[in-house]
Amino acid sequence: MFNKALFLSIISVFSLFLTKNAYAYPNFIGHGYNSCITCHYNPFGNGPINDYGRAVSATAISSRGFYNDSKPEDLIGKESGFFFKEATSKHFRPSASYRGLLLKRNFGEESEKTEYIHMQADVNLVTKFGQNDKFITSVSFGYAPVPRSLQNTPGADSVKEYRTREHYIGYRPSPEWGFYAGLMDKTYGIRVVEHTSYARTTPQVTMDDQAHGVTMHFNKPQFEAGVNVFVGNLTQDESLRMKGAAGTFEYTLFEKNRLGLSALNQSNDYLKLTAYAAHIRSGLDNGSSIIFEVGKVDKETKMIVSEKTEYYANFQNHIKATRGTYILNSVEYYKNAIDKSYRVRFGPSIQYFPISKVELRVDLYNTRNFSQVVSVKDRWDLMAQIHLWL
Amino acid sequence: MKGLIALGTGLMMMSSLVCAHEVVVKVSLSPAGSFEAKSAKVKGDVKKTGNSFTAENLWVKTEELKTGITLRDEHFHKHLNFEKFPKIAFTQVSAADGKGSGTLVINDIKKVVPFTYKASGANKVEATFKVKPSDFKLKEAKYMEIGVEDEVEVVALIDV
Repeated sequence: MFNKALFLSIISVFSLFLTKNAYAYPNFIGHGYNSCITCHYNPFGNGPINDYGRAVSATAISSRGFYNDSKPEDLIGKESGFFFKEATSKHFRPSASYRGLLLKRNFGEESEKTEYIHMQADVNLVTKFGQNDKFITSVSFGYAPVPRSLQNTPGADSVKEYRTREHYIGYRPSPEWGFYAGLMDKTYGIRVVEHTSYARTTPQVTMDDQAHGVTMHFNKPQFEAGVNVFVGNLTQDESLRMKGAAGTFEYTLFEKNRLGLSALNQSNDYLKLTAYAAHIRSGLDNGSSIIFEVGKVDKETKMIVSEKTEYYANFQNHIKATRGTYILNSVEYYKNAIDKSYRVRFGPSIQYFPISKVELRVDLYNTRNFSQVVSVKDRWDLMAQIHLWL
Repeated sequence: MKGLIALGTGLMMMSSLVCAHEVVVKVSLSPAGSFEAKSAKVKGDVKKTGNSFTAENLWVKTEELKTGITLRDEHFHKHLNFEKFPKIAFTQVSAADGKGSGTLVINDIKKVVPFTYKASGANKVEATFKVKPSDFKLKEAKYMEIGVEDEVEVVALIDV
C-alpha cells in the first residue's frame, strides 16, 4: 500500500509540475498531421514510419536534452534514418522495432503479480518504386507473444511466436487514391496504440486481429475514407478466420479536428460481429490533442446461439508538457447490455522520448467493475513500457 | 537545407495605434496534412475613416513566424529567403465594405492581392486572402518526400 501511495504522490506531483509548464506544442494532429499517411507508409497508421515521420519524430516529438546545444536540428533529422544514418537508397527502407512491458497487476495489493512481456520484436522492409513512390511493399516479421486469451488453450498451437503481423503491396496512382492488398489492420475506429483499450478489444481490432484483404484509401484535405474487404488471417485455421468488411470516414472540421464514423462486419464459424463507432480527434492549440470514440458492438455466437450487445467509449487527452514529454489521461467505459454490468478504467500516463528512437512510458490504470450480480474490488495496474526502434 | 515544409506569406493590416496584429499562415502538405505559421508581431499603422481602412505598410519579420517545430521554422524561414529579405510586407492597403486589396511583398517580389474582411469583436477585423507561393518565385518546398501545396491561406487579426 505504501508503494502505491508513494507512487501516486510522485506521479501527481510530476504531472502537476509538467502541466504547469505545458508549452503546448503539438503532437501529431496538433501539429496539423491529421492524416496518418503523412508519416506512415500505411495510410491508416501503424507499422513503419516513413522518412518524414522519422524526421518529425526526431526533431519535434523527441527531446533534444541529450544532444549538444550546438547540434543542428537538420542533423538530428538526418540521423533519424535506419541505424542513425540518412537513407542512401531511394527504394529500400529497413527498420526494426522492439516493445517491452513491465506489468504489475493488482499493484500495491498482496496479490500483486509482476511480469515482463516482450510485446514486439520485429524487422521490417519497405520497398518503393515509381514516380512519387506509387508502388510500395511492406513486410514485417519477428517475435510476438501468443495472445493471452489463447495461452494454455488448444488454440495456442495455431499461433506461432515468430510471425508476420503486416505485409502488403500498395499502389497510389495519385496522392488522393491508394489501393493495398495483403495482411493489414482493419479500417475501423481510431487506432490507438493501447491495444488493450476497450475501443480495440470490444470490436476485435487489436494487435493480433489483422486480416488478409484489400483496402482502398481516399484522401482529400476535407475528408478521408477507407474501405477494407478481408478474408481473415490466412495463417489461421479456416474456421477461425474472420471474414467481412470494414470502413471508416473522417471529415475535417476547422483544420485540426476530425469527425469520424466507422462500421465493421465480420464473422467466422463461431462468431458474427457487427460494430459501429463514431469518433473525434481534435488538435488543440499548440499541439496537444484529445480523442474520443464511442461504439456499439453486436456479437452473435453460432455454436450455442446467443446474442449480446456491448458498448464502449474511450476518451484520452495527450498534453505536450515539454518537447519529448507528454502527459496522457484516459477514461474508458465498457458495458455489457445483457447483464447490465459495466466497467470503467481510467488513469494517467507519462510518455517520454528522451532521444530519437527511444520511447519510455508509464501508465497507471484503475479498473472498476459495476455489476448487479457480483462485487469486485477495484484493481490498479502499473505498466512501464520501453519502445526502441532503428 | 531543403525547404522543409514550408511556405507561406503573409500578413495584414489596420489600426491607428502601433499595436501588434496577428497573422496565421495556413499551409497544406502533400499528400496530406497541414501546419500553421503564426505571429502576433505584425507591425504597422491602420487608419480608419468611416467604414474604410487604409494602411501604408504592414510588416512582419519572417523569423517571427513560428510553426511549432524548430526544424520546420528553420526550413520555413529559409524557404522565404529570410536572410536576404528578412521582412514580409503588405503595402498600399485599402479596404471598405468587406473587401480590399494591397501589395504583398515576399522575396522582393510584389503582387497585388485582394482580400475580404469582417468584424471580429469591437476593435478588430479578420482579413483573409490566398496566395500562390510560386507567384513570389519561391521554389517548390519539399522535405523527405513531403511537399507543400502551391496555395496558402492567410488570416490576419487586425486591431483597428
